[in-house]
Amino acid sequence: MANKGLISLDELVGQIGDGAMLAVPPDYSGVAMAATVSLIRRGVRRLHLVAVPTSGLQAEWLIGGGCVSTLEAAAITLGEFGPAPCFAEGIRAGAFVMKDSTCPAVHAALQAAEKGVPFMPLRGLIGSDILKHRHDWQVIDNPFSAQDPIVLLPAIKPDFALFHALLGDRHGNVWIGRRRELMTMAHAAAASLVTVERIYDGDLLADETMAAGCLPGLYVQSLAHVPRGAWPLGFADEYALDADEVRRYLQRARSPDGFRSYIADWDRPGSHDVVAAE
Amino acid sequence: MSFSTQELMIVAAAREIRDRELVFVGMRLPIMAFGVARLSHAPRAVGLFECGVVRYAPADGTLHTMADPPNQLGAAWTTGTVQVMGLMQGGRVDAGFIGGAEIDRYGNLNTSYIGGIERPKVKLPGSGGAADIAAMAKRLLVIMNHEKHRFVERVGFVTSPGWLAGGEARRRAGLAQGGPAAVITDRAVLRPHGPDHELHLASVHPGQTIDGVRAATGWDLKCLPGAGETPAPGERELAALHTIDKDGFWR
Repeated sequence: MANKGLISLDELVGQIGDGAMLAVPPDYSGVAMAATVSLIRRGVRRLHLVAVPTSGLQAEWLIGGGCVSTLEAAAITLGEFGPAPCFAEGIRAGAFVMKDSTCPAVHAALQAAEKGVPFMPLRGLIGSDILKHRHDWQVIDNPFSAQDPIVLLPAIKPDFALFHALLGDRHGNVWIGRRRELMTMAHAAAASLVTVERIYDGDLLADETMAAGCLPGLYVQSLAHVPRGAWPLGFADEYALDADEVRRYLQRARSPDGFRSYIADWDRPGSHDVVAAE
Repeated sequence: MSFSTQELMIVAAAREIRDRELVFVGMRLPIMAFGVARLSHAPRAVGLFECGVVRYAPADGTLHTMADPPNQLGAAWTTGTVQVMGLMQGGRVDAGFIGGAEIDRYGNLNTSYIGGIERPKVKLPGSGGAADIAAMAKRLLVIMNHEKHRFVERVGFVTSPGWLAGGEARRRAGLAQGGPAAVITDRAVLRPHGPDHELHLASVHPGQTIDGVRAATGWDLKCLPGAGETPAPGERELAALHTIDKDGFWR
């Protein structure tokens, strides 16, 4: 795919059109929160959001912004902060289609796309009502062995993987380190859109110690330099979750107007310094 | 030595982990239980975390998520969800340790929908990896609060399969191994008993009564022969817990 190189945050999310299937990582893995706010402000609609394999604040905000028509996830949780209000209200109101999944099921379906096979067999899931309600999943008899039912999951082929990473270089290579789910997402998606904490001056793949933790630029359609791009979520060793900000959000999200004004006012720390510097 | 109910719960849960076992560890109380087991009777147990972390020693520091830096520092392996789940799918995981919101007589767990999927009263977070852990770990260990609305005759939605309808139902469904082995609550320890695998009262915690536990259970809870009192945490167990719980969060 054509690597469009380093662009602005608004240009980056501008590529995500209405109706796109968007794969996003769990709260611990580099969530592109600044990009998420930009998407909501632009008013994107009918997203098919795939949490790889779970999501929290990002799914909550996209749902609150009315951006989501289908949500596939193993879990949606704000953890210690309690119920996610827009998600809960959306379920109650039937505002989007909820496709309940499990962590390995989401990964397996992405691996099918990664390998170009139409489906993936997965051990487990049997006995769970999740399977009963997923009419797109099938149980077959293992063709190689008797009395061994096995679940088949159709491939998930996202249009975009969207995430935040520590380092990106001018060739579009992105250093993801330990976060292997980002690699699976990127391999499965048609294109990856990545915000990065810092620009690496050089070629990440030319450095022996960095190369193994790199997503090669051939998967990356666009990169934007967005320091603190995962805030208010935490990001690896860089910054911790901003619990006060999450509580501020929950306070204001008690009404739809409160949610809208929260997103309108949202401003990540230091964003103006960066604009000035660039 | 004094201890809180939650500390007793953690210690009782830790006792379910055997030395040298590979244990799939869920968040919150299961993480603490794994840590106590490692630092007391199971020094060679190995903990697997769904985010891709494999640990020997418990993390040094408070965790909001299982991928927080303290849980990665000093890890035995930092890999991906696919790889750690693969250890379980390949049949290598001895025990899975998870929490629940609603459980029934046969140890089926619901973390998806309260009040049915069509018109849910409450949407719970979902499975995460729990459905898979429940299906594939050789033993399932559950830790949760014991209240009548949580301990029900039949869960409204089976997120994580236990013994399903009891008896041979789990095996007949196609799950070749595993099943709930113990449920540790803030009041008692329950275990499946007999060919039906129905959960029975195995021990009541100090300060609780059999009648009290039965009153907090939504089915006609029977007692295992010889059900007694859960042993109070020993000195070594509490010391292990205090080593991990530096801030006294669970005291």
